[in-house]
Amino acid sequence: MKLLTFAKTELHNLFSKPATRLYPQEPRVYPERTRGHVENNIDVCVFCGLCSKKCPTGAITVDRPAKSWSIKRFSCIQCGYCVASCPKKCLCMRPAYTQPASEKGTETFTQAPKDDQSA
Amino acid sequence: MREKILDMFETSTGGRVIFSVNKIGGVMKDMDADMLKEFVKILNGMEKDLRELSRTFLENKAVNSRLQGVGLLTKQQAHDLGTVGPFMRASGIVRDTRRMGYAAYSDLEFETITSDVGDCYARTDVRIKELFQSIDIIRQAVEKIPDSEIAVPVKGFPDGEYFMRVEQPRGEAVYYVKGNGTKFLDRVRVRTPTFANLPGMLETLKGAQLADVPILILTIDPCISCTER
Repeated sequence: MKLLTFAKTELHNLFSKPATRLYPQEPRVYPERTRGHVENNIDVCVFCGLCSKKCPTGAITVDRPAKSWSIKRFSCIQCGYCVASCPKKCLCMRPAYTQPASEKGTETFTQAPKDDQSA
Repeated sequence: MREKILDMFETSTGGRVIFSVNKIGGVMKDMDADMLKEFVKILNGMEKDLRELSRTFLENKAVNSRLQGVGLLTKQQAHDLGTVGPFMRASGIVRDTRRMGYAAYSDLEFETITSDVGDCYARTDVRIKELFQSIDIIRQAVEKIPDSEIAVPVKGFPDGEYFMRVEQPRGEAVYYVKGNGTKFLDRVRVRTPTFANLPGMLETLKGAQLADVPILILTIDPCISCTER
């Protein structure tokens, strides 16, 4: 029987860094292409509704008269169809994933009415 | 180590397991030369660790006693039961759909890996050798990749039917689509390799010990959701 057969591995493990990430102390950095959530630049949006038609889960609702764009974050599957079909390119995919929540809410964004400059 | 591969997927496509990067006409995202070089570097570093790991599977006496001589499938049986993939190649049949030369495989050089003994150890051996062959294929592909557009514009609706066989890690999958001129398809059928290996697995289970059953089920590398197809 050899003595201290495990000593080498033991010493190595004692003095080396952990192989795992020190989350949540160390925040997780996602690559830039990660499909986390969809964001809309509401000032550029024309509320055409194309994103709502292309969405496979029906997560996006567009109200043209009221100028509001709402998305159900927990229904979105981050496929990117809306981003690809937006004619004004106001939609984009951001890397951060949706935070866990206790109920499935809807986020609504409304465009502020523009000042009418007509004389 | 799997995290390194998942990170590579996330950096290039945006998703770890679900890539959503294919579309009709090509792909949606491009990889530049820096990203490819980084990937090859990661793979080279991983290859060393993988060789160390695979020694555990191939040389450890405890693992060998569980794998050798278990689940024998002769070449004739494998042929008759319609097995595919590494399951079939470990029984001695020399067939790899990638050699048909679809996609970029006609420009890449690699050999079909087979084994003559048809037991679980042979299948493990074939899969591990294919692992290193995959790393080699990726290195070749990164060298030969041309600098051109990533997608071709496609117009119109599909009409007619098409049949295609591709080689997936678990075996050969068959895709059949039938369109009728509108944007909805008439028929889509995917025959997965797990589904094709099920009769072979049932044959190996005959007369097996109860303790060998999990090993025999895992030896076809089943994707459980594919068994429903």
